[in-house]
Amino acid sequence: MNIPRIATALNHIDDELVSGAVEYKRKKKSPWKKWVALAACLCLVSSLFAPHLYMKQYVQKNHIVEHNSSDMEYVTVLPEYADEWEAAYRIHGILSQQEYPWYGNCRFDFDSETIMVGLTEVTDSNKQAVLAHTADTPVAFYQCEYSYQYLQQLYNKLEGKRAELSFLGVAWFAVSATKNRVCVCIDNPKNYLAICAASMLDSQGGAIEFITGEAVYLIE
Amino acid sequence: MDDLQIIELYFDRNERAIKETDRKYGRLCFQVAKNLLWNREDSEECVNDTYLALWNQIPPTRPNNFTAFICKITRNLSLKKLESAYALKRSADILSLSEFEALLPDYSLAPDIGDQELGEQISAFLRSEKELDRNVFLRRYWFFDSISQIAKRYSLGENTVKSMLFRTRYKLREFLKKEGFEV
Repeated sequence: MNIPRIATALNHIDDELVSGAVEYKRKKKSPWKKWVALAACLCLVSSLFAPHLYMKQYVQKNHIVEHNSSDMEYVTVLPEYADEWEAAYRIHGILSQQEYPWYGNCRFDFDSETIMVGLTEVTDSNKQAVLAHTADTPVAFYQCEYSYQYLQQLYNKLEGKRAELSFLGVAWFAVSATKNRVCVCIDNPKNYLAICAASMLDSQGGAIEFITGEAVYLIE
Repeated sequence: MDDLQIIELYFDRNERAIKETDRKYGRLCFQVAKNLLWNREDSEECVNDTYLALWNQIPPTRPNNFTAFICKITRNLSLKKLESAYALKRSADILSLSEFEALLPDYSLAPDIGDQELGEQISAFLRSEKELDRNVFLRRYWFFDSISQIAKRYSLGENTVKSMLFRTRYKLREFLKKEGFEV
């Protein structure tokens, strides 16, 4: 057996390579670095999920519910009620112009076949003020939760944040006089960020109804 | 004592130079020789021959890299000693010189190219390698450390060392082919 030529040739390699191999010490990975990396990963994961969980809790705590637009009942206006329907809209138009802080909404109720006027404070003076605008049209009164003025203000707040809300996944929003709510359509029911962002503008709470599914504009 | 001071002792023809060299490099030289010769007496003789060669070469030579200079002398002397039939017979099973044979066995291949030029090409190749891969290769084929020694030195698994060596050998072979060596 002869010494392979390459073993002899290796004796002519650069001095730096030889002394480098004598002095070289491999840097050992510190065990704590592994734990720091793991902790950093956990922090990252929790920082990603914590806001989501917080917002989910916020949504549950504030009883914010959403409806799927496919489950919602859409009312078809029958021709025989067209006059009453139109009258309800006309009265709503007049009353909303008056900026009464207690006026809620005006809608035609198909079950009772009556035009219903919702007031946040059902008092005789408020009723009289409404009747002064309804002429001979018969109306009935009921207690509603939110004034139209408040819903309009809420709508304006949402309008002011339209770009941000759109970025967060809000498809559209509108005041629904019939529902006595502001309807906000979001891209998916788990979009807690969009729900929270919109809900935080609702100072009274509960005045927003969230809708998911197809963005069908059927409000009003 | 640092290398420059030791070299100065050689230049002053001071016998303390040998003592200081032995103190600083004795173990390293012995290990280089022992890895090749696998015999204590032969290795010690090789180390002593190294000191003699140093005494004879310095002056006039003033080595820039004393560590490499002394290691190269020891390795060269050890390889020469290994060529004796007796030593070869003893260490053939231990050394993995066969790992080299596939690469460039003898002077029948690329006979016009000198060892110096081949060494320069290998240097260029090794400089392009990762530091760990390079040093694992050198520990194995320059210092003739065993796989287990390398694994222990660099806190690696033996299989990892083997695969690193295989990969580097393959890459060196391809590099030499590319450079025009018929391997």
